[in-house]
Amino acid sequence: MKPKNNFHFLLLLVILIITSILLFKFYFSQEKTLKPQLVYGLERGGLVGNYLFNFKNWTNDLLHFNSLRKQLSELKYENIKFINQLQNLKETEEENTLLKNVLKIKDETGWSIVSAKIILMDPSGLTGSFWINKGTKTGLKDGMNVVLEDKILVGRLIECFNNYCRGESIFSPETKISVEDLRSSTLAIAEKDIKGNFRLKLVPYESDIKIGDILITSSENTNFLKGLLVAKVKKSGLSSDVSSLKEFILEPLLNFSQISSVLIITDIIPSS
Amino acid sequence: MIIQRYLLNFILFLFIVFFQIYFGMVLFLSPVLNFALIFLIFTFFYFPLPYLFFLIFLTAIIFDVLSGLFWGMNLFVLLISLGAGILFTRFLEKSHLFPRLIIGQSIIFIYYSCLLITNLVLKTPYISFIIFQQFLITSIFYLLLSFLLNKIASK
Repeated sequence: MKPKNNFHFLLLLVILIITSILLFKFYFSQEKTLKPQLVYGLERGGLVGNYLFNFKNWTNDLLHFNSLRKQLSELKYENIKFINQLQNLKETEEENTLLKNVLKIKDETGWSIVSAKIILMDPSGLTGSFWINKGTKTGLKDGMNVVLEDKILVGRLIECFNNYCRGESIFSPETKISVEDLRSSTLAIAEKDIKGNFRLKLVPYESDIKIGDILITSSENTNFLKGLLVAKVKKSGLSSDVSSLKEFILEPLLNFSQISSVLIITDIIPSS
Repeated sequence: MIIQRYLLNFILFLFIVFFQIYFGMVLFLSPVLNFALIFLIFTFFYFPLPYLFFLIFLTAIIFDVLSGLFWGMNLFVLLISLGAGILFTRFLEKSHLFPRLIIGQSIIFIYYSCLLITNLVLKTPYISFIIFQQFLITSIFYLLLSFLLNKIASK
């Protein structure tokens, strides 16, 4: 009886090993097929996703009732403040026009642009990757820069399929962007810290960077085009390592609520 | 009856993965509660291993497409963590609450340790605080859910 049991066990083991090998082989050989097909399926399921989004917003509002009430009173107060600030609007308007001229937004760039919708994003919150609904059929390629309407940098495309492309946002953990201060033209490198915040690290103490300055991509980047808006300087402090160096915390200009559609610059691929 | 059980579990699995995909969608790096992992842990306690591996494969495909650092990363991480869970069942009884808590927490710990190491080796030169935050919220949620389910079952 015992040898028969052993034989059965061995037979099962062999079947299990063969099945595992076949499964692994299938899994790793089907990467190019599975990715676009799954994205297609999930995009189709997006309708239910939209309902879930609405439900999410609804529950979120319900759970944050007190904070909403607080926000409302703050908004009322802010409203009065804004009425008072209306007088200063002309100055702001002039400043905006100036900034637009400096940045040479849209008209003067002459870039070929394709618009696309963001259909899926990273559900793990660890990679900052996203999928858009356009692919190689519309001329998109790996490495192309993704921006918003105001030339705010979103990220770049990592891999493209016929109808879909996967991109990596600037929030991806290893992102390092060479930036330039729009006001003083000071160069620095913006990188992510341990908590996922953007920082300007090891900036010389005498460098002319102030709170509120706007940073754009500089020509030193290998992955990004020059002149794209990246972040605003939020806070400054001394570097913990070397006291003669400064450190700045940045506020990315990329606003999560804005992102439903993006623009892809198709005629220049920085890394190629 | 058995088929009904599997069917119900699979529908619940689809719902949870769908929920995870659309609720957890973020462009910013942020701590997200890993519902799928918690569901797999509970499936591990109540269902046979071949079915669990089938669900692991499905979860891995979705996560690899949407958020993997490389293709197959999530498959390896899930197999390693739940494989460790299987090893734990040789020493601990998985039908009681306390051993279940230990096994589940160990699976979550191993899962996030693997993610942390992969990130450290392939992506960032520092230990990601967000992974640590995700580990904390997932393990706390698992703990609460285990107590809740245990209370419901004992009634």
